[in-house]
Amino acid sequence: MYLKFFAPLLILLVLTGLQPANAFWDKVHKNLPEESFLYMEFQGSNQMRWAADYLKAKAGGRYSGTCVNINYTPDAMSNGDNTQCGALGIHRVGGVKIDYLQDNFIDHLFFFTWSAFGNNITTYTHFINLKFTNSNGDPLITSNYNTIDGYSYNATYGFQEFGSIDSLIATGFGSAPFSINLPGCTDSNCSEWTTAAVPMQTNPTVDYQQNGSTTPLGTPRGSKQLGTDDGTNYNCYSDTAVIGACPDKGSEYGGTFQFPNTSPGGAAGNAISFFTGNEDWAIWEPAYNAATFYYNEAWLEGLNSRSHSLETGPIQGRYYTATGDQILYYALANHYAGDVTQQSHIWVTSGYNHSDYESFADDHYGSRSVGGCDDNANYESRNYTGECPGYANVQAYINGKQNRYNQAPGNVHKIIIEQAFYTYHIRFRSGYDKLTTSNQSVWKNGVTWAVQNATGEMAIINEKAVMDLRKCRNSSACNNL
Amino acid sequence: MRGLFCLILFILPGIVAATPDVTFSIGNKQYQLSGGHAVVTKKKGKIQLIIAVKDLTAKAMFALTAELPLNALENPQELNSEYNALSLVLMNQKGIYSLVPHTTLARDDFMRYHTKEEIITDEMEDDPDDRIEEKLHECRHHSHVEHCLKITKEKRRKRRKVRVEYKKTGPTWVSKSRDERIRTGDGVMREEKYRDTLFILRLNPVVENGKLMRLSGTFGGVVLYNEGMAPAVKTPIQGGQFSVQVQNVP
Repeated sequence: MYLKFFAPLLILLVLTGLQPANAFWDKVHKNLPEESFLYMEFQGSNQMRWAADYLKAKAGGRYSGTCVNINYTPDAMSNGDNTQCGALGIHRVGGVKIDYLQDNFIDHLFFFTWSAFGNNITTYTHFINLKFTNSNGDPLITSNYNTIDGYSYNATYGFQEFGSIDSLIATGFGSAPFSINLPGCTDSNCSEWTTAAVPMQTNPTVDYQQNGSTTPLGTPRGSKQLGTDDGTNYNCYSDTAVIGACPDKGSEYGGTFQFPNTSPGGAAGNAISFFTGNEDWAIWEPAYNAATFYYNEAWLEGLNSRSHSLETGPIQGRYYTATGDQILYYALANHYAGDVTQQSHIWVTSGYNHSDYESFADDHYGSRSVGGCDDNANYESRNYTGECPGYANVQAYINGKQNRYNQAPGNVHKIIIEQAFYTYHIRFRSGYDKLTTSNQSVWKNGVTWAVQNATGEMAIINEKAVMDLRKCRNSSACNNL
Repeated sequence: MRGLFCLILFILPGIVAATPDVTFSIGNKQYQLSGGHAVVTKKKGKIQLIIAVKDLTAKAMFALTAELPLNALENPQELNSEYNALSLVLMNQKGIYSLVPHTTLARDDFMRYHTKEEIITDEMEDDPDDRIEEKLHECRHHSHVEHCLKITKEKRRKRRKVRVEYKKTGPTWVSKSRDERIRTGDGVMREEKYRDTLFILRLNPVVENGKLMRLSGTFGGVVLYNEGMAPAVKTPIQGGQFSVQVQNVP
């Protein structure tokens, strides 16, 4: 059993009995983009204030005007804020909505029918892997970056140790063909494929292929449009190779089998083999690929090309025609921007206090009141100067970032990747490694750092979203790609 | 809680069943699964054990994993999820049954944290708070300008030089005992959703000609059960017995 893979968080939620509404930084994900917008309005540069004004004009107000929906699951409707309005409301919706998308499917586990489990996998896009070693300290030589999908694979940290949730998931979910062609699916259950923002529907295995990703899709099969297990899917994990015959285990280095799958393919003919490891259908994209789709294809291009790469033609004039509800398009990218400030989303997928830390964040920062000075809630305001409210730390984090609004149109992935690198390294700062402690003072350090970084990161993204459209008012200024 | 487990569990030590390979019951349902194997891998001074069953007829998939000391399978062993790296997953048409330890100890002791240290040295430097430039400027109004400048410079305030060093330090939990780590939360990962679960696995190695050929044993406990997207409920697995061939004899 040597596999390592991205364990999708929703599977984790299923296994751990959580409903998405109760976990995964629900309130935090709403607060962070709102925080970034407030920063733009009251602390930002003149240009940021102007960009915020543009967005408020488009949305028809701050908390009133154009309204959008989170599309909560039924059990989450009790939160009461499914519909939110105005520029700040739309940003709050965008921050969390991704967690409620049902946009990818494990068709069946083992040989059960679609409806037997109905596990909708929405979280194949929430992680970025930057680590250089496994939890034994053994170097990973192939997993950090590949020219196919970028910083994609999270060869789950700690997976080698038995008893981890990830190893359990790998064992349990290994033989799970995925639906791969949701728009073309003829099965009635395929109608579940997502509506992220009307009229946008997304098929992650196709749409999220940004930044050069070439995730193979295989050949659709049957009414559910599954791919055949032909081993052509490079961006995958495989099932558990109990007998050690897994063809997808990657290359061995330092006693560790490495990702990505360097030898795709496997035992043919037995689609549900548990012992030979021949399944290739767990597909995902790194967080910034999904964010790039929403930012480039939806926001900048207005869904006019869906070509997996940014085209300047559709952007021109969008500065004038973009509508308030379309702010949600790029606001969805802020979900991923928030994810990459969480150490677990860079170092590990599940375990390592992942959900407990996020619950802690929700209990504290999640309940913060705007403009408040509660030391146990208003983490956005905790300055090195001691003043409150204050945003000096956020200002410093913004100043410290290299990728800003003045980059070429698009390139939101660069902002997110840069943040991911900061998050990778913060674990090495004494008092910030939340992965290996349940000490809540360390968690508080981590959440405070994450909130302030996310506020700055999202303010840059929001500002860039406006400046990119402005830059592309006409073709002559929109050519610096 | 322990008492409850003892009541729930009915673990018969040393039972060797021929066919089926694995049997257990959940609620009123008795499971008999065939097609089981055990795989034993030695890695980094430890044994990684997988006992797995895929039964097409019963429409169930079952896997147990455990990590053991290197020579542990020379004798019968009893493992439990409170102290051992032990996991279970069972998938059937009713849902998913799973277990991982509620508390595990971090292993990445190779981590090094960066701390900032300010070291006060014996070396002296000008005190920037002395405002020497202002004092020198004031000397211009002095009757003996040169002398004033000389005295002022000679008497400028000094302070001990502070050297800042960024040091790498190891995790504080490396030298702590297991109990201390759990008590302080230092070097500990927790999965709160598995709180109040427990799983016990007894292993009876069957050694022939010095080689581990079969593994039999018993198991039982309280695990999590998920039906689709519904919240997890704790469910007892009782009377587990297995006897499987070891596939890759180490």
